[in-house]
Amino acid sequence: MTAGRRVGYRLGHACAVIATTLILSFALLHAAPGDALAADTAQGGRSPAARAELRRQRGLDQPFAVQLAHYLGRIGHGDLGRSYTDQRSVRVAVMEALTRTLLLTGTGLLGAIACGLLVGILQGWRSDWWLSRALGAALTAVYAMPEFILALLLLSVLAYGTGWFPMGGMYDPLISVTGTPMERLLDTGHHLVVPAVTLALGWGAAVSRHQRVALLETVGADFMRTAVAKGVSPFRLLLRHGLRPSLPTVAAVIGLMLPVLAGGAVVVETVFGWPGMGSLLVRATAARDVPMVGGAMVVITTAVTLSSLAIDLALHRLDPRQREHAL
Amino acid sequence: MRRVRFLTGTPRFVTVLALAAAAGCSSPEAKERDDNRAATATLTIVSAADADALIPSLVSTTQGKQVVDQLFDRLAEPVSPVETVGDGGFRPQLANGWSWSPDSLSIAFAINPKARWHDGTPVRAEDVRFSFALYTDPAVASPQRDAFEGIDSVTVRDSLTAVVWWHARHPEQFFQVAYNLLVMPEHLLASIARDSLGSSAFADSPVGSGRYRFERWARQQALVLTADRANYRGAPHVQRLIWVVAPDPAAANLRLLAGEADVLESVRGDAYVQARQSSRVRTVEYPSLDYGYLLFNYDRAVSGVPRLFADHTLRVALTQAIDRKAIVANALDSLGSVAMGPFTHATAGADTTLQQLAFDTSAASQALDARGWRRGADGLRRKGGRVLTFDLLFPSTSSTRQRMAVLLQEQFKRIGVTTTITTVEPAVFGARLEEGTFDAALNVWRTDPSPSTIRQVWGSPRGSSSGANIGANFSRYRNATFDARIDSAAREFNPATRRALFRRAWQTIVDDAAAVWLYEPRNVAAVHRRVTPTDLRADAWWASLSAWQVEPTTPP
Amino acid sequence: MAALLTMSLVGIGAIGAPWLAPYDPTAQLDLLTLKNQTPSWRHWLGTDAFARDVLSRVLFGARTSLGVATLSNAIAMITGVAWGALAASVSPRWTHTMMGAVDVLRSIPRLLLLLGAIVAFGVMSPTLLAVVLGLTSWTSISRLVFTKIRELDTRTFVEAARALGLSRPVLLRRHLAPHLLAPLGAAGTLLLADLLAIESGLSFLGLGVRAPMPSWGNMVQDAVPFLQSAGWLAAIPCLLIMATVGSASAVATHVGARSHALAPASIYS
Repeated sequence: MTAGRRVGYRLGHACAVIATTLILSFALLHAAPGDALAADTAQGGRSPAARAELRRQRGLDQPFAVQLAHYLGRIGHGDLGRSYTDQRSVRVAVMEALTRTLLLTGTGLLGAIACGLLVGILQGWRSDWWLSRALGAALTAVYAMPEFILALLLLSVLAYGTGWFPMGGMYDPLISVTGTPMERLLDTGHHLVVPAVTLALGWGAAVSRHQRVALLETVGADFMRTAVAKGVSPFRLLLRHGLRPSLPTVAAVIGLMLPVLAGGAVVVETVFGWPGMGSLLVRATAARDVPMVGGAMVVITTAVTLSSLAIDLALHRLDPRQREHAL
Repeated sequence: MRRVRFLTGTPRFVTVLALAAAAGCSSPEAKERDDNRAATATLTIVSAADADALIPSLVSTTQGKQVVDQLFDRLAEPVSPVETVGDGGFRPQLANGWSWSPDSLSIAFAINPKARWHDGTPVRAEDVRFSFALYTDPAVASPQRDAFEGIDSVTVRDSLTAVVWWHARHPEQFFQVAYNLLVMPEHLLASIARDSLGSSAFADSPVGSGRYRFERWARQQALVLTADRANYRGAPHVQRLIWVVAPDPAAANLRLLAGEADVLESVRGDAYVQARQSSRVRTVEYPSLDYGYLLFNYDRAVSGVPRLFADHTLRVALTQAIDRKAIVANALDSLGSVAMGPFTHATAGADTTLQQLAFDTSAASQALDARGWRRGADGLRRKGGRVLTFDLLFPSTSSTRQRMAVLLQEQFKRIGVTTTITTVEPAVFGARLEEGTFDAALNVWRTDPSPSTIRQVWGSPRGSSSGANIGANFSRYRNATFDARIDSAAREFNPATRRALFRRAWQTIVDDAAAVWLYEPRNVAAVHRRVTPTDLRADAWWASLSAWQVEPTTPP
Repeated sequence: MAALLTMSLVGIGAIGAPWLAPYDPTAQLDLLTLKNQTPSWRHWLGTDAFARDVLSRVLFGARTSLGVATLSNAIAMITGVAWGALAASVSPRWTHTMMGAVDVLRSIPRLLLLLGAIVAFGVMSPTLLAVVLGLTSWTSISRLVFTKIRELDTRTFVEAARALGLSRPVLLRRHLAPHLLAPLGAAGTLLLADLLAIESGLSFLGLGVRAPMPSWGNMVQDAVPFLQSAGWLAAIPCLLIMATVGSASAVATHVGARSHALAPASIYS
């Protein structure tokens, strides 16, 4: 199969995946207890009559099949609808959240790869050195630590303790109103540091583990022994022969993380007040905001399917031997 | 200094050790941030959630109310503490005067001729008529619609006089319209379809007549209002009001302690201790209208017995089984007290001398024995082979109720009553309470300043037993004596008699053990020392935000 | 060695909890005087906010948490390996369908799946929770196995074996399995860490192990409001989770390294 046909096939496949996910999530939300117009148990809120009126306006009084058909029809026309909770356009809200999330998770992932590869290579190279052991143990500890504890710890130490970084949010509200574009950009970068470091540490552990395992494997391979026998220096050996074959495994691991990249990191977003996809999805699910959840699902599934395709193609390039046996 | 105080516990293990490592560092940036904000007289409020809407007739969350109360005006403004009978407790706002008709069935409000919308258009009586229509139009489905029950209409006598008409006289007529009606601009909203107000352009940048005007709203991030310099009520002292969203309570508290925010409306537990010890922040107490209670589902078959909780003796026994003092002290420390009934210390005419059911496990055990629920060898109570057991439902978002549930479970276990506890999301909690698919639930009710609205929560459901309109009476509690007593109290004009009648009604429901009245939180706000708050009202601490002062310099 | 010791200690604690625990793990001893007490002779690890003995809760919590994590991990590994290996061995058309299904599952947030499970089952027991967690975590394993086998399929030794006419099952067992052990060990221990953490996250959402039954996850959760005033309450279950995962991964690495029958470091020493 040629690369072109391969991409075409996968794109068609992606559409099927997205449709399935949409129907599944719609049905799940529909079957889940609770609804967007549940009674307000603290202050009374809307009267049953007012809630019935809103249900009618949103077509929620229709049978399930009719609702689903309407919903899919609208999405087919590119209209993601409006949120049940704040009446906002779902498309605008989701794209905004996605951009914010990608900024955070993308930076986090780059940090994770850098930190994971470094530690992984160090461990694969000299696994008996005390430093590589200590770093490995530290990363494992960080990985096993509940995410919110790590996030709160870094918030207390890096932001509150030093006073170097802001305590949360994406930007300073005052600078966002009065600042120049450059000031605003710097301000967002400043706000990004601590949450991104939290993600980098958490994910770095995963990258380094897989990296090390991959390296240990290649180190044991026959061609490496031959190279050692030929007297190639260990460092060069590692770079030339060790690192490159281990890249596919790392790429696969990154592929595993892609859903999180688009889906957001709920805990880190909550602790740092970063208004991304994770918190949007959790908030919308809790509020049974069907259009919002549906819209987010479309975007996340598209992102995951496309990136999974990209990873496949990348693996293909990284390991030429696979080309002959492509799907 | 502040960071050393941040560590109030004994340093132990990794978490705290790392915190301690950070404790020594200094923070010049934080001070700089303080100075920046002070120079422009900005007040930053850190909030757990974003506003839901900025159109008064659509707002249902307190975050939304905080904002619309700055952007829009009422006809008259209540003076703290809110007095709901007559017009004595109000001062002019949009209306600079009002007159009652001889039969008291209508009030004519004279609009201040100097009042202007933020776009420069004058405020007119027509705006009042239009706003009433927005609140009451079924197509808008306003959460506040029920508050206007009994008001017949609003008419326009001349361009600056609006007349409000009632079907019948009642003591809280003035309160009803002045407190609940925020006036919205007819000239900007009239052309928008009533069922799509929330998605209109106005919803994204509202225009009001309040002392603050809308500047910017980045959802889930920050909302900025600026002072309306040309306002008819005068420009406010604080130049900008900013709400920032911090969903995590610990992070919200750190923002305040670091000097990045000025106001946190409520602090509890560790956050309270830290705020008390901080040199940058101080705590301000204000009255609360919330009470937390264990509500029983009267219509539910529990432990195999139909309408188990309709049994008065059983409810009394369950109340006596709980050491309310101990659990409130454990869960809330000093920041709460045992609830007295379906009202709080801040309720108008609140009576702290009501007779209460005391903690008495032996009386509780005897009562349960007498009812045939006998304890077996395994400690459980059974009748006819069925174990006395029920489920406690509470919403996952409330940490106080989560703790209360675990505490209650153990207390009930001690007298042989088994309970399971179930956490659900708020949307599910609301739906199950409304449907009646629960045994018992932990709820918090935020009372209205008017004591007569108690009818909504504890008055018998109207209509037949099935499919009745329960309002907010999720218990399905029915007590004709209580209904009659509340109704006669609500109709009473004389303040002293009114107070006595309410007391009698409250004593009725407390004696009946309608629910287990658990706790009343003590509201404590944490504010930056440079801020001087005024008049934190029980029903709306933000009511006089436009009168707050901010010091230009940071105290050492 | 230290890792093995830790693992066996935790295991003994979990199994022997009913005999080792000094108190009833759910008993609230004295709400007012025993709230958040620091460790003492009577309470070796102190008491929590509900005046319960922390040592007893840790022991009983090990039972719940390890039980849930191990069971769900086993379910996820078995399902994931079987699915991935099968998908890599069948005809391309089936491969697409099988891995497509994995993509679908991966893109649905776990929260939604868990909510679905709650709808289906109502309140979940720890066993059911483990099954649900296992069935929502196997997809990453299957993708790893699939990618790995695809990669190995192109290696000379596999091609040689294939040329010799070895059947697919034999090939999988003799030649592919040894190469899968190390990455699977790594992925498995990471998943175990994930599951221990997810269990604590779920208690946060009220979907995890129900109070008053202790688990390490809900112990962390109970301690969160007191991070500043009683940090050790969160530190104890956190350290236990870290130690368990750390030793599990050390053991896995060791096993993984030995399966190659060579000492990787020896080349350079």
